[in-house]
Amino acid sequence: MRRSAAASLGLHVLLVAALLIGLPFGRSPEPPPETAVDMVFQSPGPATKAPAPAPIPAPARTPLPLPAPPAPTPPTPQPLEDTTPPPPPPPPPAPAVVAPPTPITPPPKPTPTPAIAAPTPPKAAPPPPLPPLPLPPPPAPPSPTAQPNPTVNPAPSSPALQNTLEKLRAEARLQARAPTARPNPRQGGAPNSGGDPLANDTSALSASERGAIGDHVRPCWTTDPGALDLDKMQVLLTVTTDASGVVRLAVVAPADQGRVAADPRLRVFSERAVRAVLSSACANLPLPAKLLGKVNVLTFRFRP
Amino acid sequence: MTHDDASAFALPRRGLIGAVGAALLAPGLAHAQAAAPGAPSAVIDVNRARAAPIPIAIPVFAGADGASSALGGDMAGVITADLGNSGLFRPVSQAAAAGINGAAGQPNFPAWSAVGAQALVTGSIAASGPSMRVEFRLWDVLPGTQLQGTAYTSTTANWRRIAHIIADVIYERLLGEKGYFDTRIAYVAATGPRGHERRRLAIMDQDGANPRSLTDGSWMALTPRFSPVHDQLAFMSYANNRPRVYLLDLANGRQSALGEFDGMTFAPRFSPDGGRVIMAVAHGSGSDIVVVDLASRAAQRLTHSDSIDVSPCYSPDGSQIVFNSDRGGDQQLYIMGAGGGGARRTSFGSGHYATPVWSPRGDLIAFTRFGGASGSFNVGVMQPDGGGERILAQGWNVQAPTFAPNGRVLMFESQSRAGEGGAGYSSHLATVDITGFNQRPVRTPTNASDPAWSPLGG
Repeated sequence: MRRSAAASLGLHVLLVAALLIGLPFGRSPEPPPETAVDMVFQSPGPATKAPAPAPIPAPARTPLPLPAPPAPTPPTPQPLEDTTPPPPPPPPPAPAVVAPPTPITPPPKPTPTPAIAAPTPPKAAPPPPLPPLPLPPPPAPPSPTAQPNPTVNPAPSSPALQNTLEKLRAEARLQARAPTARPNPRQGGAPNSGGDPLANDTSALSASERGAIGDHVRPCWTTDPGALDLDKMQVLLTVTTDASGVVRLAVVAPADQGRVAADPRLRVFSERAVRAVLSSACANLPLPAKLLGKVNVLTFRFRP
Repeated sequence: MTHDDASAFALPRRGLIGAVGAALLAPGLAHAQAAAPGAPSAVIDVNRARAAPIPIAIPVFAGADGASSALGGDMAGVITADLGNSGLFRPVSQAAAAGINGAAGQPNFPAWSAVGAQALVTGSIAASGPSMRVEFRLWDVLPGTQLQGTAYTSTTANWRRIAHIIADVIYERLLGEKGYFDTRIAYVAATGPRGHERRRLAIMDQDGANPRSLTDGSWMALTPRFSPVHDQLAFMSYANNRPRVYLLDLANGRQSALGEFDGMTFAPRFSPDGGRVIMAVAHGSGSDIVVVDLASRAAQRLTHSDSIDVSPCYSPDGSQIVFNSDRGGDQQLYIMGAGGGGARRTSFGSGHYATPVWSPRGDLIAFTRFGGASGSFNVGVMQPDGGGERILAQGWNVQAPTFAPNGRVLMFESQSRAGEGGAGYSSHLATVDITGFNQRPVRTPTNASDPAWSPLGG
């Protein structure tokens, strides 16, 4: 008995220790994924790929002696092995300028208290003969707070088959009604904003105010004029400003993220757009007074 | 933007009109019409972008010792020159970069932003005897993010090529297209007095470094062309006073004549898969275009006319051939199918057209144009349907364009007018980007002509 109890105790201690060690309590966040790709550049030696240059004679008025043509030399590959580890990961990037959202602490749930069973009265001795019963009191008026509590089973006393049929009929009647449920409000959108991503603060701007902001950013907006299909490119950015109207964050809008991820040219196009709104010369947006004093989320559309 | 994208952005306006109409007819429908999923209800438009290079800082790569540090300076210099010469980057001066130090592997982004850099390249070199390890990282300064991180191990003798490869990686990551810095140029190097030049085949890096001769100059060599898949050149040689097209294996220097034809063969170019060579064959007073399969050496004649059909070049997908012909009475460009036949004229500008070459991107055909209203020589581009013609370079004699493998830059030869006794004459190479805004000379140790751009990494 003692042995088994000791063995059981030991196993429990091991289990608890394994859980404590295995669980990620107190671990630091994972470093950003290493994007470095360790490549071994293996090429023929300089005799083949970049041979020692046989100097070409400088221009002269008289023909110079001809350099001998290169002797056919077989390539001498130099196998190289990269045994060192890839570059160490950089430390995690500096925290974003926009403060992360403060986690909302949910209100403590009420601790369920165990129901206390009512004490059962002690059994009494057999009662004496009862006097004649008085008349029942009149029914009390319904309390305004009383809730009707209709029975779930419409035919509690019916036989089992009849009872089931009644249930089915009742469900069919409920299902015949028009649905009254409504979809949940849209979630997501710009960081810290919540709500509908398409209904951000841009809609609070008039056309002239939007035009003024676009004119302000335009001097910083540059493209590569030789890019293929440049005239067909455009991208939506979700831009977050601080209370003074300075751009603090710019990301590709969710509607365009798929296209940008699939097209390297559109990706660099969008990166240039991000640089335009983040550049110090253009990041201070001319927001109207009604939008100052709070964080704003705006939608920009960049086109060539 | 695709058609689907266009319709997506057309939705709000239509949705608005629909909502107004529905509101007039049935107020209950208005809400359903106005909400188009995925379409922004209001946006701030930014358009009419400027064409401007990306400001980029490339400080000297760090080195653990003196040799590594010297190598780091050299590599940063090559990368800076590559990116700067492309016209698409504006390197921040080393003086501005001096004194900006990061901490714990993270650059000082505010400091780099203050000197105007939007991109930053940091790197380090660890040289150990004949080998070295180079690490570099590309940073987006304003968001403060790393865009690329790569390490290379090689011999120190290859430092220059690794620098070109790093420049290509930066170019591709920031522009979305392959670079062209790890490439070579084959050309004809001329020495000696004008009229008596000795012309050799030569080869160099795209930036003019590492030039060397490929032939000894005993016989005149012209029009070298790179194979897209093999370390091989096709060129025309007057060897033994019999002008023919030859193949030259760059690894071992072996030469071999391509096919046996009665007439002179010239103006060769490889097919995009490298399996065939297309060229012109002279006959009587004209010339036809033939294609030779390199495996079987079987030849097929693609044109059968009494005119002069020359300078054929495949489209990048190999389905079409652009060439130069006087079949219409004037020297113009024509396009036919890869199997021959169905040639249609595609050049209609003023003057004569020659030396067409199809862009590797497929969107443009470069050409030489001469005569006409201006009377001068021009190098220009047009769309394959003949539209959008524009002149990129002009001069007393500019000709023979060749595309960089990414189709963004052209190299061509430019000759100056010769004075009495040939005085003042020169022939050199130059590059111009396809927008025509960035023209730069390419340094060569001798007079140079007939450039041919290698494929990337070739």
